[in-house]
Amino acid sequence: MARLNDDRFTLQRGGRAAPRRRVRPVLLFLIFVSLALMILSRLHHSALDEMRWRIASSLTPVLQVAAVPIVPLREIGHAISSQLDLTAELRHLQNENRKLNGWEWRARQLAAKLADLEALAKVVPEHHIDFITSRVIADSSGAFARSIMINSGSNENIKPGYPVINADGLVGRIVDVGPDSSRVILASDLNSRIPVSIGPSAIRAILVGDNGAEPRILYAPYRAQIADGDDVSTSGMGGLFPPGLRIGKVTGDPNNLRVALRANLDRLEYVSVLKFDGPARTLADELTSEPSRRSPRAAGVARSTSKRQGAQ
Amino acid sequence: MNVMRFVAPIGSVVLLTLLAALPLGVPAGDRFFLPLLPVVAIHYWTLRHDAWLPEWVVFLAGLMLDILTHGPLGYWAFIYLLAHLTATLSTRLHVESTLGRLVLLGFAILFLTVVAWLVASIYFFEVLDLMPYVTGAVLASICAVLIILPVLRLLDGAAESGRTMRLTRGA
Repeated sequence: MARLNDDRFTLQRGGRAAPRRRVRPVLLFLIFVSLALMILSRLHHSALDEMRWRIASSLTPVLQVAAVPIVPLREIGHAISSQLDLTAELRHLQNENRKLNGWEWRARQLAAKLADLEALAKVVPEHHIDFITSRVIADSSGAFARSIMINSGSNENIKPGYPVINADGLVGRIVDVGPDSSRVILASDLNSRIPVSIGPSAIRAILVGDNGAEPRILYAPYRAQIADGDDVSTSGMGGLFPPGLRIGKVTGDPNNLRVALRANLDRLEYVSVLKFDGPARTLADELTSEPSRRSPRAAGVARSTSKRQGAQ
Repeated sequence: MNVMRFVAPIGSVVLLTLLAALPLGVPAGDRFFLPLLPVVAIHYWTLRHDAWLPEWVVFLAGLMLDILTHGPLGYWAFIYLLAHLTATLSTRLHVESTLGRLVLLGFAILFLTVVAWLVASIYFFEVLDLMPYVTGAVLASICAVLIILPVLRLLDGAAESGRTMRLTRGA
């Protein structure tokens, strides 16, 4: 054993710099595990998806606590940007108010006419859609997904597939539900598909997200007259979304039609979940609620159908 | 070893990881810098010989971010482990000056950004737009210099009083 008074040794306070470190085998092992997990994710392993959502929903209390100090920061940032845009915003609102005054009168007339026509045609009245407003507790927007987490879940009777809106328009839909939290896939997400109605002639198409700010319009009829600035709303086709939810306006060139969303998906604080049980969901619920009457195989098909519809 | 040598590295990495998943109001296209912030903490603490930041903590932090951001499992875990690896390997260069360490950190962020872009492109089987990643790397570097490194230095300083004496071989 070397003696301390040996010339070749000095006693000093530990420096900040690390001495040369070894790469431990555990690091290489964990890198291997990460790569294996990535491959399993690419293959959409169902067990991984379920486990992932369970862990994410169990982290809800942590996210809720962590989001508390963020709120004043967000408000400060929002206040600064609002102040910067105040003059332009005021002018814009004045113009809009002038237009809206004219439209209000016209809308009243049309509403009265529509009520008369519906009464004449004995139209089935639309049901009132209940909703719940929730706070955004996590933003998962990145290279792979555009989604948010909200602080309401199955305890508030939220189900997969329910549409999510804010004051400006459609935001997205629920895809995963935990007891106290849910995941909302945004309209701009790569996996988002929304049946839409475009313009005054109500052209049917599908709004397809691509992780960009403006989703694309696909499957519009050949030579359909779609103009820049046409309003886009949900068509209600498929029964997952109620018809008439505002989405945005058409933008881009005719070969690459896109939609400028009304809702600012980057600054979502509170969103409302519409408890819309459309015909598709009612049918799926009926099928899944009576598994004992059918064979186990049929019950399994019904469950997977319900899940798929929730994800669509 | 002082308790802060455990708490500061793990706490800072976990907090920065959580921050990357919080709704900060940052536009989706500009959020790429947020997941790179824990890289700064991982790099910093790995270079400290007496800070305790084991590989499995780095792995779990990355996995937590993967779960919260709904990206592919293992993606950020892989990037963070690479950050640990690059920091470990950079100790062989014996860089002592502050500027030298900043340059090392800059290179690490750049390297990891390119790897992140490459892995994401392979994952989607298409060449993704590199610009958001580059912007993210630049923003992460600015945040590192202006905010994160000073805070980490403060945490490090708080624990310095407890730093043990070290016997080194030398002339």
